[in-house]
Amino acid sequence: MKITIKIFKISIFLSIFIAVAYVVLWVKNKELWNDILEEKNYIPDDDDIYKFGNEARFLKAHRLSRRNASEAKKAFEMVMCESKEMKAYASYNVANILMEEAIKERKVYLFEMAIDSYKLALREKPDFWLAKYNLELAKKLLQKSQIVVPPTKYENRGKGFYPDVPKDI
Amino acid sequence: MESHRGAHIVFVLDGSGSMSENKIKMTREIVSKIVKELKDDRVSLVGFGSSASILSHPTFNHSLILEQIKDHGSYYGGTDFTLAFLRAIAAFNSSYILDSDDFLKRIIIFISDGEGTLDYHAYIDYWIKKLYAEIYWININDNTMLENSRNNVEAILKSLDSTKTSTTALFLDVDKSPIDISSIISRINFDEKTTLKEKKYGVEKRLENIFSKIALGSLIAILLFALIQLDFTEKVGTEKVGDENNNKNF
Repeated sequence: MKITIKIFKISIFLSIFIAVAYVVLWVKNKELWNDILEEKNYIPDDDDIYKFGNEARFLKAHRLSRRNASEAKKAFEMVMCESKEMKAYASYNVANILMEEAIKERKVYLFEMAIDSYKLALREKPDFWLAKYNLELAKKLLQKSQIVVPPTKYENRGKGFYPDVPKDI
Repeated sequence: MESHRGAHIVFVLDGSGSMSENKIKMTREIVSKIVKELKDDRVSLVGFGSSASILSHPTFNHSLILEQIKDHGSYYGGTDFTLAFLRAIAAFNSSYILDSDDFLKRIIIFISDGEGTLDYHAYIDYWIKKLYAEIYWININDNTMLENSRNNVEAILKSLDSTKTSTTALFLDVDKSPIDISSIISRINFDEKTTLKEKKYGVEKRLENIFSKIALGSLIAILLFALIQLDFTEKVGTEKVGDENNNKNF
């Protein structure tokens, strides 16, 4: 019986030791994560993604969106694959990139793709008001572009050809 | 609860600048013909060019898909197969589809002219394996370009390790008419494979649930046993000490 008590005491001691070690590691990881967040120019690498999971993946995509839009889109798409919870936010960010491209390049199809992505964000998270606001804005811009473009150019719509948005919107 | 049989099919449609009017027309025709053959399958549409977007979310309403496919057009911009694959994977991963309910076989039908690039092979490969997805690549191109695009597509599929066993590629000439849709459907062979895969998914998921419950139960039982053991040993110990003291006093 004494042996069983001893074994039990040792196991309790070990479990307390493991718990303390776990808490220490958790705090250290949190500190590291805070450092990554504070370092504005740092893009999380594969090790960070391995350590911090989807949050690091999202942060990488978000930071890439200011430098390389096409890479950022891929990174956000990866977030969408990984996490159902973050799908709405990733989709919203993809839509924002597309909106920026649409305004810069003046392409109707980019507005339409941005609208689709905002809709996807709202589908995943119906109370996402930022997405709702931007969706309405994108719709307005698209409508405006369609008023300015003569309707004859839209004859091919749905047959495979999209006109450019004129420069005065 | 009513359970749906069949497959979850994601049509990934190329809408890049290289897709001419004929190719787009052929794409629409292929999709509509396949969708008309489906019964209890969940279908979604993904369009892509330099970006990807979901044209139609996963639905069992096939008439909606037939309506939506009319909107598919060609966008200006490059062809990014990476975004297309990633968006197709994300379409399977919708929060509207519960993991426990989704025993459907997953199929990606890729319709493209094969002129594009693919990055992140390992990542895409990981997800295809994880989802048990099967890829059917229908490559449509002009007679002159068909050979080049065939080489490109074959290289892409070769780079994805998981597609060696689960991929079927079909190469169609746009100028040829009419399209032999029966050969595509027989290659995809929905009914036979769906039943097999569905059973596999069902068994796997149920076993997973059962094993996790057994593991949790046994853990709780061990903890309870350890606590009971402690109480018992302490009681015995005090009784013995008490007896010894009494003996000494006498």
